[in-house]
Amino acid sequence: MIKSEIRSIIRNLLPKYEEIERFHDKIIDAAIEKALAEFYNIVFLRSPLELALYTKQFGYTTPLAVVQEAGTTLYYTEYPFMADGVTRVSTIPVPDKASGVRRISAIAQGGVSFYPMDAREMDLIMAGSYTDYVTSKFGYCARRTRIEYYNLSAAIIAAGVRCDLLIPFSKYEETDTVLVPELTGDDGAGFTDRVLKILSNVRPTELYENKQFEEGK
Amino acid sequence: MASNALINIEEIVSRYLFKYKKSLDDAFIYTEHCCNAYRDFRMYDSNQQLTAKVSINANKWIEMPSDMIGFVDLVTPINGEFWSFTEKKYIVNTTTFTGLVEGLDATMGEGVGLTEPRSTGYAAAGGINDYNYTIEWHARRIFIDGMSSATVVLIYVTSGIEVTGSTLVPDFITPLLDAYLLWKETYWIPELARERQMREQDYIKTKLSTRNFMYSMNYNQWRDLVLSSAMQAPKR
Repeated sequence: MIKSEIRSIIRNLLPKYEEIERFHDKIIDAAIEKALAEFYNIVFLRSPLELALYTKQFGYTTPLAVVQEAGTTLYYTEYPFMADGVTRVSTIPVPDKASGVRRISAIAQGGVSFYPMDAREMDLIMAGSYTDYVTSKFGYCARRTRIEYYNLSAAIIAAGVRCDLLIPFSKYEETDTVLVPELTGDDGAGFTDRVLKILSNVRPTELYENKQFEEGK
Repeated sequence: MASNALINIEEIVSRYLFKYKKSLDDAFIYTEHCCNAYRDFRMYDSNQQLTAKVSINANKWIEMPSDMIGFVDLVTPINGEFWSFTEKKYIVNTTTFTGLVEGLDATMGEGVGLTEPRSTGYAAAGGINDYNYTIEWHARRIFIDGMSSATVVLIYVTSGIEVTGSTLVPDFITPLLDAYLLWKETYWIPELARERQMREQDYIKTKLSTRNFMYSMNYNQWRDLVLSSAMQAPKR
């Protein structure tokens, strides 16, 4: 289902108080985002490998650039832009090293793999370890606004990378397909039930006399 | 053509993650442990040794190679075979500085040849080697008696982990390294802690089968062993 359809379903399931809905799109999106993030974390607890099913792929047609930071000499890739060319996507943190960056690959499929690591591990490996002697594995560290690398080869730096990111609902484009895990709680509540429950605690937005939304309320 | 007998140690880790359906999260930790496992194998189980030509300096000592973690033998070639040096624990291993120059002081017995005579006469018990050594691990030197300013051959144990170039390990020890990783991961994955002893036993069993593979002898080796202890005699 595409993003706008999911929002539409929720809007149509909301109880109607008047002839017009009183929830702004952003409020509905935020509720969906919260429920979806909860679902992703449940999936993670069940099987971390399964999370790869719910990622969005970036850099497959145009590689994401790997650049070097002058001061730290770190190589990194910033999270990609959304279609507006201004907003960058972010990731949903999950409690493992890969966090929301579930996979990074070289542009050409096969041969090389990227492995998640945390900043502590990166420091310790480089501070003297057998691993640092023997490894040709590429490491990546998922940070708040970017992905940092360990041990990248010149060829990868030149060619760029592609990655599969677990992103929040708000960072999907309107026409993107959003995959929702089919989960139900002990009470039988599924995805839409959870979203409606979140929204049931939100007081409907007051409207102008002309029944238009008043931003900021 | 079958698969390669030697594989990169990193491949062992990648295959382990694949076989046991592990996430990639701890790949680097597994790599470090895999290196430890291979080092242990080289030290305690393997017959893989490094043979290198080394120089005895004019002061009659050898500087140990920086990668030497265990001594196996010190030999010199004689008639196409290696002749082994004998360990003499009390060879003088002190040195004397004259200014900044390190040398030997004969009055302190430094570098003085052992006087033990070669015993070849009637009722001589055993042989006495012309070449002797003693190891000083702290200074990482091997002091020599009976030879100086010469090249000899040192056989020693290394960790097997290559600082430059690829670290290739025998494919037949893959089960041993897998068992080691399965055992060691119980130390950082809390829910596996109760399996630790069981996995340690698995590791020990795998180690035994690996040693059987390495050290069991074939028919001809057994036959040669038996024949080597038999004396030829005329048939009457």
